[in-house]
Amino acid sequence: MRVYMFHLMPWPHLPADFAQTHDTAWVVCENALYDAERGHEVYNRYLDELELADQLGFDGVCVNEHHQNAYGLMPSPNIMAACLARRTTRAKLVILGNVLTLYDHPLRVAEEIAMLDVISGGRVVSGQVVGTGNEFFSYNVNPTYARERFYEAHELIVKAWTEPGPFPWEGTHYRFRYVNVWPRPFQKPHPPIWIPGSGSRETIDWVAKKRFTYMVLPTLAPYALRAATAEAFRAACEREGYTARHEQIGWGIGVYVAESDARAVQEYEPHFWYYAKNLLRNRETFNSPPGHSSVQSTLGVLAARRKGRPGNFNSWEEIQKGGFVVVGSPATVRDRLTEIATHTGLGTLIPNFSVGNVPHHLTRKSVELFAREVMPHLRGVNVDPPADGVARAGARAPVPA
Amino acid sequence: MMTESVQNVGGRATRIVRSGRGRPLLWLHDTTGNRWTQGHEALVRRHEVIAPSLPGFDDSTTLGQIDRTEDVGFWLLDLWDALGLERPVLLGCGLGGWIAADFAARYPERLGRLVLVDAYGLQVDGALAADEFALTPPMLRPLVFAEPEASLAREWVPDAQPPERVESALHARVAAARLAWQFPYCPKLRGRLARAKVPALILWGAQDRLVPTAHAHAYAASLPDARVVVLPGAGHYPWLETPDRFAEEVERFLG
Repeated sequence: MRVYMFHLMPWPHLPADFAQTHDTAWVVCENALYDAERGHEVYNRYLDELELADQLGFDGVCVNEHHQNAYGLMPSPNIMAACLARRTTRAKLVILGNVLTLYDHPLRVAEEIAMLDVISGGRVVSGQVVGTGNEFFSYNVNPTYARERFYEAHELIVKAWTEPGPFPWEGTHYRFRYVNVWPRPFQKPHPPIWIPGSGSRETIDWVAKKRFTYMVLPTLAPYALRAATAEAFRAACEREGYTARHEQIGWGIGVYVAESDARAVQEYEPHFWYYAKNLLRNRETFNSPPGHSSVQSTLGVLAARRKGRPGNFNSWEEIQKGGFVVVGSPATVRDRLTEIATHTGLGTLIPNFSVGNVPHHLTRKSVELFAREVMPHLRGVNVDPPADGVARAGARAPVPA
Repeated sequence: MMTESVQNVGGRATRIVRSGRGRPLLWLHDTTGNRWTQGHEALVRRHEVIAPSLPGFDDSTTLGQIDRTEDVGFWLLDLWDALGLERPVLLGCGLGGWIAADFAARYPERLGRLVLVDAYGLQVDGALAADEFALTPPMLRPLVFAEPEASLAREWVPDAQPPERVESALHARVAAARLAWQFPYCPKLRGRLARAKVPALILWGAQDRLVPTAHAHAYAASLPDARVVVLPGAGHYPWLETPDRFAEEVERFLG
């Protein structure tokens, strides 16, 4: 298994009564709540934490893209990756991901990822996402074209990376007379591609077909639902005629390590609630604009939610029992992650240590404990045989036909 | 007697509901989809009311390349051919009103009369329509109903759709968003309305807080032959909230 430290870069300074006075941390959450001087500290602190992960031997560091919200402060993940490219030396730089649908110029994504890949000497992983529903409100992109735009932008980017330019692209949503991206990516044929998914069948089937890495339910979800989603992905790979490699199963989850189980919960819990009650606070309309998922897929998700996903949780017992996060002593976290890996086959672990408003010193302590006392034990779990005779970190995508 | 059929309109399967006898009145529905209402019923005494489902509203997977009112206009031309329509009354509500106004500017000779009801379509400074896709049902009801606590309001804008309507409501919402996402207007429409040389009635609910009444006056000022009637006791759906008064004004205008 390989381990990639994820950072959400949340805004940690929301007022104490935020949940009572706001119905959402997104789209219309007033930006008067943002303070640039505190923001300066916050950005640099978060980048320090990712640089620390590189120093501690994590296989990679992950950044992502959200707009106009308090949940995650990286409207441009590529800027964060650029900051990290020159301050890290070994870690993969995982952009998880670029929201392809938002851009009328997906070539900009092809260019920037290629730039980062060349600057970093081939350390980039290109995550590509449709985007949360919120982003369609914030960027005025018609959500009824979300899937079409995503697939077309993806095909255009991969072609721009892999086929000699210039060539014309005459698509439905994008037209370019001259596709001729300079620079070309460092990795051949192109950087690995990871796709975070919310469990929809259409995405699972597509990722399986492409043989990319599928990141299971990146936001807060109970273990049972994640495990079922991972199983659905493995089944989709079997239908495509191959067995999923461990590295194709990505597992993003909140992790916190402290000296003992009791101390871990005591330190973590208040910050978890800041995340769950404030940052996840949202209107259903922003989450699910029309057409963002197909009607059939939406009906499926509604049915699954009625069965599995609790809408509101209020007690730590529910969180613990549901397996939403992995929190405890090094031994507890090690055992639990090994157990999860054994059951699900995951080979790409994406822990998020900096939940809600957890302070820097606790994040640092947790990351250091994890790196020293947990990570070494996970190395030997779910190791893939070398692909194409060469051992590599990250899934490498074949050239699409 | 009300009849419902599915007809081929320019290659597109189209559900059409009709009732009544007399002069044809083509009713273009709003973003909630093609549902027969008391407002329709109140007009059937003197008109043949013809209510087609706009493209994609009954099944959003059939939207295809429909993404602006102009595209719906071409489908309307097909509808004229399929039904053999000759200068019918064209009545449009909300989104349907925008489509009707756009059609009237392009093909005025095809219309007998034009009725716009709480219509989208115009850019009016300082009076941007509220974002119906961003608002939850409890937020939306006070904007679109004069009496948001009435059972009618909860029936039409429920907190959760009843099981038998979940799927059809999802399809309607997708089709509506395809045309009316965030800015349900065309900035060029106002300048084109001078070409709509057909008598027009602009009907508006006095308490429409989704599309403010400033839009009614903007329509009247831009159309060559239009009068405005603002209906008290109604919000965005006067044909639901005050159906008799709504029908009375339409009948008076049509003579």
